[in-house]
Amino acid sequence: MALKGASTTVDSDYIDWAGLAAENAAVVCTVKAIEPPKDFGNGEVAAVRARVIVLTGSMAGTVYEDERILKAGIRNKLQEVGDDVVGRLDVYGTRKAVGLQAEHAGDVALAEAALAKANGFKVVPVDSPVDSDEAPF
Amino acid sequence: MSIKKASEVRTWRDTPVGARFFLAQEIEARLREMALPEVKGQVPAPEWIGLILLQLHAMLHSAEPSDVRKIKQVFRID
Repeated sequence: MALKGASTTVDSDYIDWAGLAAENAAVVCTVKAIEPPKDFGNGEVAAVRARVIVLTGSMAGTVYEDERILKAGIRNKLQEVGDDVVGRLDVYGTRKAVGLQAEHAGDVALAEAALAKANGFKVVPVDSPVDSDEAPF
Repeated sequence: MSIKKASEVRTWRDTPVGARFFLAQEIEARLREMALPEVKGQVPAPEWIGLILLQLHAMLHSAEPSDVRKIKQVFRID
């Protein structure tokens, strides 16, 4: 078994926010949870957990099912659990922070189509109640 | 299915406090531009200084106490 160096292993599901912002990609975020405030080293932050679907750009069609979002410019737009929020990723302010900015024409329709598809293929949780006592097969 | 548009979600940035904070950042950036090596040593035009002071005065005059702390952080003021 070949060992991998920590510096060369990368989580494949990690969102490259800066890359998406550079493309001004459209995304739709579905808020799953808002975590209790926690200090990550720069003051307390209430991280948001959300499903993020990329709608445009080179990563279009990519679905990040459960992303923890700490960036204020994105997190602040995701205020209530259950919300679906569509917008464009872009930088703002003099510090060039990544934020969820105003959507473009047509983005809402893209989001509706993506959400319909994503929700249609939702996986049933393993621990969901079973309707019948019969053996599954 | 009701989808919220990011442009319609109000955040701290859209409040008067947030707007002033980002204005302060803009001013900070302009002050830093003035301190670039190629212009260091030159005295900015009095009109320039007056404009900055007027903006700062307006911001601080209407700021809440908590805003003053943030503004002071931006301008590195003790």
